[in-house]
Amino acid sequence: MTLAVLAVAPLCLPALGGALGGQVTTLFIYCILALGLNVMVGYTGLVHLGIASFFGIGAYLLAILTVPMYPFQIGFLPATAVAVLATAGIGLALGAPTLRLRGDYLAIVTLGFGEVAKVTLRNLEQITGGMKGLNPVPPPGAGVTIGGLDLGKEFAIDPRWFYYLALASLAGVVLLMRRLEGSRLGRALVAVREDELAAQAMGISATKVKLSAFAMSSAVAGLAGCLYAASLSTTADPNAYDFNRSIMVLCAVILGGLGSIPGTLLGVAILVGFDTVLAPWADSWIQQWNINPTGSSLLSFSGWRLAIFGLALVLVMRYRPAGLIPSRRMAAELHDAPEGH
Amino acid sequence: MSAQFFLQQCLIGLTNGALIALVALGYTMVYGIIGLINFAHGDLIMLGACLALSIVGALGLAAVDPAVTWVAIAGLVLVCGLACGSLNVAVDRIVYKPLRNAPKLAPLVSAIGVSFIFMNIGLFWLGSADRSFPELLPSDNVLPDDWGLQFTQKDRLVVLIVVPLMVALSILVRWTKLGKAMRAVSQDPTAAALVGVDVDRVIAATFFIGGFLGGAASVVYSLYINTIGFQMGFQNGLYAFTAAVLGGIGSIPGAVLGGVVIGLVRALASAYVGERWTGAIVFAILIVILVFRPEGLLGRRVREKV
Amino acid sequence: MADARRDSAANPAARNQSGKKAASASSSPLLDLEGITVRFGGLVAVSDLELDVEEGSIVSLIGPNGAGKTTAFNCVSGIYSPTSGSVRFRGKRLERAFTPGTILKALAVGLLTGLLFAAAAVDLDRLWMAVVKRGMITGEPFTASGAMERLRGYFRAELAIDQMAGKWRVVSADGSDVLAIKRDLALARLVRDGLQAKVTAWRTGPGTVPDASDLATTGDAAAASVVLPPVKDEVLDRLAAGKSRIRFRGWAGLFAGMLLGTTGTLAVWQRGRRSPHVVARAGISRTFQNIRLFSNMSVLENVLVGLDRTIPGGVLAMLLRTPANRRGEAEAKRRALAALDFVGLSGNANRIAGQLPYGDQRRLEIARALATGAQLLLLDEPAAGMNPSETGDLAGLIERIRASGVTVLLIEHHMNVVMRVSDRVAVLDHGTKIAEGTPAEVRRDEKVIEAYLGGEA
Repeated sequence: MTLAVLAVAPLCLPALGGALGGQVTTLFIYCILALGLNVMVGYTGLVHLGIASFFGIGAYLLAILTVPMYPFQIGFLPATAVAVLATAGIGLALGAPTLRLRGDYLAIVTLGFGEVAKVTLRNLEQITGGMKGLNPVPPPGAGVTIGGLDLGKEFAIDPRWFYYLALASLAGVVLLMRRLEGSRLGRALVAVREDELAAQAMGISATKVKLSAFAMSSAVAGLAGCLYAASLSTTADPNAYDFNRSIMVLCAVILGGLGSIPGTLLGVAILVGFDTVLAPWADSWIQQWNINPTGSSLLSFSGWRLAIFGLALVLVMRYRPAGLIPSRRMAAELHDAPEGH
Repeated sequence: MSAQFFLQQCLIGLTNGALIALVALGYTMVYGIIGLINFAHGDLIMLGACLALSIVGALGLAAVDPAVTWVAIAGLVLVCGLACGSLNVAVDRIVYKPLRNAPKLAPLVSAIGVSFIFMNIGLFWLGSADRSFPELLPSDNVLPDDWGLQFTQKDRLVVLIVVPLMVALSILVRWTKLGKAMRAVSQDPTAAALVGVDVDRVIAATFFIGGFLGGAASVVYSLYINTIGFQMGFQNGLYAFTAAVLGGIGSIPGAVLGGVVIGLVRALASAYVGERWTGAIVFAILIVILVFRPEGLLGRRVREKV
Repeated sequence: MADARRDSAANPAARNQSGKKAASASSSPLLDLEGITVRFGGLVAVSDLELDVEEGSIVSLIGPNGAGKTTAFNCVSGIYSPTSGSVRFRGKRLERAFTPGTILKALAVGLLTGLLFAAAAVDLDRLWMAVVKRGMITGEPFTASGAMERLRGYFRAELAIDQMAGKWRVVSADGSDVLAIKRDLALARLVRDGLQAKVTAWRTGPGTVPDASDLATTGDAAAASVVLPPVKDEVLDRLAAGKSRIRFRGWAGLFAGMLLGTTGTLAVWQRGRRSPHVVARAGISRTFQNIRLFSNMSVLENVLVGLDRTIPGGVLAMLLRTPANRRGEAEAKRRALAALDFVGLSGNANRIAGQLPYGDQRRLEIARALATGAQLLLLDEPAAGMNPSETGDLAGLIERIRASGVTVLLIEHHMNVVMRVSDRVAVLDHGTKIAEGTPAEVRRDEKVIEAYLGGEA
C-alpha cells in the first residue's frame, strides 16, 4: 500500500505545481491524524471524540517554538520532537485519571477535553494569539542550507518539498503502525478491546495498555498538527480544531474500517475528497444548471454535508460495521456480535 | 462580592441547574436502560426549540395576557414534548433497535450520525445564524424588593415546569408498573424478558419519556435564554451529559443532583472567575469527581459478570 | 526462576519429576483462603470459606449451581474483592505492595498537578506576557537570566514596561493597570523605578524605601528630576497588595493541586491494588466458565498474549524492532507453539480462535493460561459441554499439567473427571463449605449426598 502511494507520487509531479499539491499534502496530514486515532478507536476500541484537540495542541506547540515573535525559534525538527513528546504527555495526563473508568465515560471525557482545549487555546490570548492564531510559522528547514540550497526558501516556493515531507511522514507512521500491529503491545491492545477482563487475567495491565494507546494516539496527532501548522505557515484559529474535525476523522476511520491501516487511508481519502472535490463540483453543477436560483441552502449540495456524514455513519454501522476495508480481526468481531457481556 | 451577590449567583445556578437536569434525565434514562450514550439527545432538544419557534411564529404569540401566555406555554410544552418523544422513539426503532446486540461502538457511532442529521435539519429550519425567540414572559422580579435578589418570571417558569416533571418522573419510575419494568430491564434485560416484561415496549417508553422531557426542556430553554441556533444542541448536550456522568449515569436522582451541581458551578465560576473559563472549570471538577468516585456521585458500582 | 517455571509449562517433558513429592515437603500451602466471605448487597455468595491448596496437588471445588464456586474463584483471581477474609499465595497477600515508590509517584503526580493549578491560579496567560513577551519588545537579546528576573518580578508584583502603538508604558506586573505612557524607553524606565519605589513605600510604610527626595540628596540627578505621574490612592492600594495576592494565589493553587493530585493518585492506586493482572503476575492464572478467548485473534496470538511479559523492551524497542525484541518475539512464538502442542492444538495455530470447535476453545484457554507461567491454574468447569471421550482427554491433560509442576484448582461438575484427578475435593453449598477430603471420603459424606440429592423436605 505504502509502496503503491510512493510509486504513484512521481507520476503526480507535473500536477503538483498548483493547488492540488497543497490539497494532497493536507490529505496526507489527515491520513496521519486518522492513523493516530485508529490506535485508540480501531485497535483498542476506546471511543475518542477529541482527537482534533491534540492535533491543535501539536500545531500550537510547533508554532510557539518556531515563530519569530517568541524567543525560542528552535527550528522545525526539534520543535516537532518537543511537540510530539508534549502531546504524548498531555495524553497521558488526561488518560491517567480517566482511563480506568468504564469505556463509555471516556467518550465524554475526550469530548469535553476537546471543547476545553479549544476554548483554552482561544482564551490564552497572550500565548496563542487568540482568534488570530500564531503566524508566520516558518517553513521546515528555514535557515538550513545544504550545498548552497536554502531549504527554507525551497519549502516556501515549491509545494513538492512539503508533499514529500508529508509523504515521508505518512510512510513512517504507516511503517510504525505495521510494526505495532505485529508487536507485543499491538496484541495487548487488541486483547483489551476483545475482552478486557480476560486480558487482565493473563497478566496484562489494561490501564497501562490503554495509556500507551492514548499516548501514541496523541503523539501521532501532535505530529500531524506540526505538519499542518508548518504547511499552512499558521496555526489558523482554534476553531479549526473543534469537535467537527474530530468527528470527521472518526468518520474516516469508521468508514474505512476500524483497526485497518488501508481502510483508514481510504476513509480519509473519501471524506477529504467529498469535501474538497465532490461537494464543490456538485455545487458548481447545480449553479451551472440554474437549479437553485434563490440560493436556498436546501438546494445546495454542501448544505447537506452534515446529513450525508450522519447518514453514512448510520448506514455503515448498520450494513457494513467493519468498514470498507475491514481489518481481519474486526471483521469477525462485528459480524458475529458477541451476546451480552 | 457580598453574601447577597453570592446568594444571587446560587439562585441563578439552581435555576440553570434545573434546566440542565431536565436534559440530563434524557441521557441517563436511555443509558440506564440500554447502555447507549444518546448523542443525538442535545440535537433533539434543538429540534424541539425549532418547533416551538415555528409554533410561536405561526400563532403570532406575544407577551399579552398572562393567563393566555401560561396556557400557551403549557400547550407548547405538551406539543414539543410529544413531538420530541415520538421522534426519539422513531429513531430508536429505525436506528438503534437493529443494533441491540451489536458491540457498543455501533449504536454510539449511529447516535453521532443521527445527531448530525438532526443538526442538518436544524440548519435548514433555522438557518446558520442564531435566532431570537420571542420574549413571551417579562423579566420582572417576582420576589419582594427588599430581599435584594432577582428571581424573574422566567426563573419561576423554569421551576414551575421542571419540578413537577421531575416529581412525576420519580412517581412513574418508583410506583407504576412501567417504572418497575424499566428498572427490571435496566438491571437485566434477559431476566426481565423471561418474567414477561415486553423489553421492546419498555425501551420505547424510556425513549419516549426521555424525549418528552427533552421537548419540555427545549421550550423552557427557548423561553429562558431567548436565543436558539442549530448548534445549541451540542453545547447543551455536553453540559447535560457531563451532569449525568457526574451524578452517576443511569441514576435518576444522580442526574438531578449532577445538573444542580453543574448549574451552581457554572454560575459561581462565571461570576467569580470569568465566563470564558466556566467550561474548563466544569471539566476539571468532572475529572476530580471521577477520580475519587468513578461511578459518579449517586451511581452504583457495576460488577462484571464472569 | 520464573523463567524456568514458564519453560516447564511449555515443555512438560523437561521436568516431570516435580509434583507431589516436592510439594509435600514445603510446610505452608501454595494457596490459602482464610475466612473468605463475599456479599452482594444482601446476598451472601460465599460465607467464611477456608481452603488450602498444597503445591503440586489437584484440588476440586464442587457443589450445586449457585454454591459460590465461581465467586470464590473470582476472589482468588482478583476480579472481586472479598467482603472479608484473606487470600494468600505462598504466604503473601495477593495485592500490590505499598512501597515508598508508591508515595513518591503520588507526590510527583501531585507536584505536577500543583504546578498546573498554580499556573492557572496566577494566570498563565499574563505570566507568559510578563516573562516572554516583555522580553521581546525592547530589542535587547532575550536571555534566560532576563526571563528569570521578569519571572521574579511577576511574583513580586513589580511594575514593568511594555509597549503599545510604539510607545512605552509603565504597567502593573499583570498588565492590568497602566500608570504612565512615555515615548522614550529610558525615561519610561526611570518613571517605572520611581513609581515602584512609591508603591513599595506604600506597602511597607513611609521612610523605609528611598524616594525621590532621598535621591535628590544622594545626588542621582537623573532619577530625581523625573516627574512622576500622580497615582490614585486606591490604585496604590491595589498595586501594593499585588505581591501578597499573587503569592497567595500561587501557593493556594500549588497546595490545592498537590493535595488533589497526591490523594487522587493514591485513591486510584488503591482501587487497582488487587486488579486481576496483579494476581496473574504473581503466578495464578485461570480459565472462564463461559469461554473468554480473544475470539478474533488467531490461536497463536491468543497464547502470545499470555506470554506478553516474557518479551523484553518498551514501546520504542517494539517500534524499532530491536534485535532483543525480535529475539524475544521469536522465543515467545516458539513457546506458544510448544504450549499449543502440549494441549493438543498443534496445527491450529493460524486459525481464528472463535472458529475453533468448543472443546478446542476450552483447551486453547488452558494453553493461554499456562503460557503466563502460572504456578497455580484455576480451571472453571473445563469439561462443560464436552462429550465423554473429550472429558477423558481433559482429565489426562489436567494430570499432565500437574506433572509439569503446576498446581491445579478445579471447579467441575463432571464427577468422573473430579474423582479421577483430584487429590482433595471441597464441597460448597449455599456459599458454605460442607465437606472436604479425598474423593473417596467426599463421596461417602452424607451432607454432600444431601446437598446434591436434596434434603428430605
